[in-house]
Amino acid sequence: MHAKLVGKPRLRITCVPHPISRVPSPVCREYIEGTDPISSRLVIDEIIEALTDTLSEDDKRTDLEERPVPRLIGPDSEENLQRFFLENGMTDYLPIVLPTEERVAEMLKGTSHKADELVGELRAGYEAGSFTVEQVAANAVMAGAKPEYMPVILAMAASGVAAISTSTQSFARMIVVNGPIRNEIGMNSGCGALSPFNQANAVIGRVATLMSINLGRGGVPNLTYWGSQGNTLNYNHATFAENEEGLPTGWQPFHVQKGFRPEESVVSFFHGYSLWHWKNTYEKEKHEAILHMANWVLPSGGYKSGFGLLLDPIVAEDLVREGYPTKESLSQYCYDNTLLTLGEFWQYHLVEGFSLPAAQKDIEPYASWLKQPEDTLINRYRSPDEISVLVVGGKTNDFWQAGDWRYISSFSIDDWR
Amino acid sequence: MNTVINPRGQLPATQQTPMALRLDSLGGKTIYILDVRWPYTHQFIEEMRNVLSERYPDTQFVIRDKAGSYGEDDPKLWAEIQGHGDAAIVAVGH
Repeated sequence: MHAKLVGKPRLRITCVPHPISRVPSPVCREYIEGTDPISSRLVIDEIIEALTDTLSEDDKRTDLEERPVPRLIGPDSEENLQRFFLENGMTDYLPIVLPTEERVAEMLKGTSHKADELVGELRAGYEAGSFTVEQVAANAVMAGAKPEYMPVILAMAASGVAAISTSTQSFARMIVVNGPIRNEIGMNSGCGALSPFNQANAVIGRVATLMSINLGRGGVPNLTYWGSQGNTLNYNHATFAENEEGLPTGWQPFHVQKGFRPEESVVSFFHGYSLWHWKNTYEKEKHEAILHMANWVLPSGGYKSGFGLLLDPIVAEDLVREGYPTKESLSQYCYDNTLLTLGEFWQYHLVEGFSLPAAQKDIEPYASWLKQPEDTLINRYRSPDEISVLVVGGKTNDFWQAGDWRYISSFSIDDWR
Repeated sequence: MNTVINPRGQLPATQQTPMALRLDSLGGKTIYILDVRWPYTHQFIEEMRNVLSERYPDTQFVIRDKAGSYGEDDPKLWAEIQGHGDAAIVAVGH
């Protein structure tokens, strides 16, 4: 379907059973001499036909196909419009608020920017959709937002960071808000911050997916979304505010670590797949337990990796007592103590797919690594910056969460007030 | 009755791209088989070359690995195929 979207609607395709990775040659031969599991035709016949058949008039097209999007939908009954949104894949299949002109006009009061201002482009499918402030507001209404959330939502939309993609990997985003707007719009950074107990946290995360579906034109399984299993985090992308009030002395808010001023409001994006919870078991100290988690993450190769720690404030205080006076010192400790051998490194599937080609193109450090003994130790992460430390939670238990979260970037919210 | 704001973004116009001309037959032709280098799948590419060569002995099937990982462009290889090949089979996937 990608071929159709980029103007090659009849690209000849045949298919064999999957996977073929690491499948022995005799089995590969059976696949090639067998039938296409989708068309039920012989794979060889399809290949030969694709090379020798006749082009249709459609195959020869060179025209420019316009795809206008009308500003309005309707008028129609609420029941019919709800069905229209559902049947056209414009929702996350939870109930939505219809973005009537009146509701969108009310939502637009949450920003000084004009309705027809072009915000940017978002690519969640195969092509980047461009959009206005009004279209962002329509998605905000659908998600159940209040007007005061609009600066955060517009900053997310303008970032160009889509919440979902076409990848066969079922990843999600983590979305973290810092600065004064957290409290202005009532975001939760304390007890239950990552649960569905707060309107701002819930809605801001939800609208990230709705914007990817509608503005970024993604999220249609087997057409623009190919994540094999999907990811429940896509419902709201682990959206929370950092508990800046709960930071130990010496630990900076995340946006300040990234160069923003404390009084600025900022939204930060992370790329990853999962969060898992931990508490000291047999380890005496928390930093030892954290290493188990940091060692689980795919090593950085040509494929970027990252590790995200979500610490309850009492865990952060314990870590200060254990000898980590700053977030950076904890990141450095994780970086220094998560080594692996080159022999292990080259065994990772995605490393083989990304880093080995880089090595063969003389890109460092991979080219040098390819020449070194397999027992050579390397760092799992490329730098301590790949290890992000965030504080969130309500001090009711010394649990923490972590996951394979790679920091993407941070964006000013204040520009969209 | 309600009228609602369309929440969808505007997609750019699509430039339709004509397909390459097909071959009248495979006899005497050079067909490239491209490996885009999904990890641990090269044996599949070699087996495809073997099967096709057995069935079409008058045709030359040439395997080429695309430079870089599967998502990277390789203009030098495209130029080689245009200059020396009659057609190409691109293997994509897992």
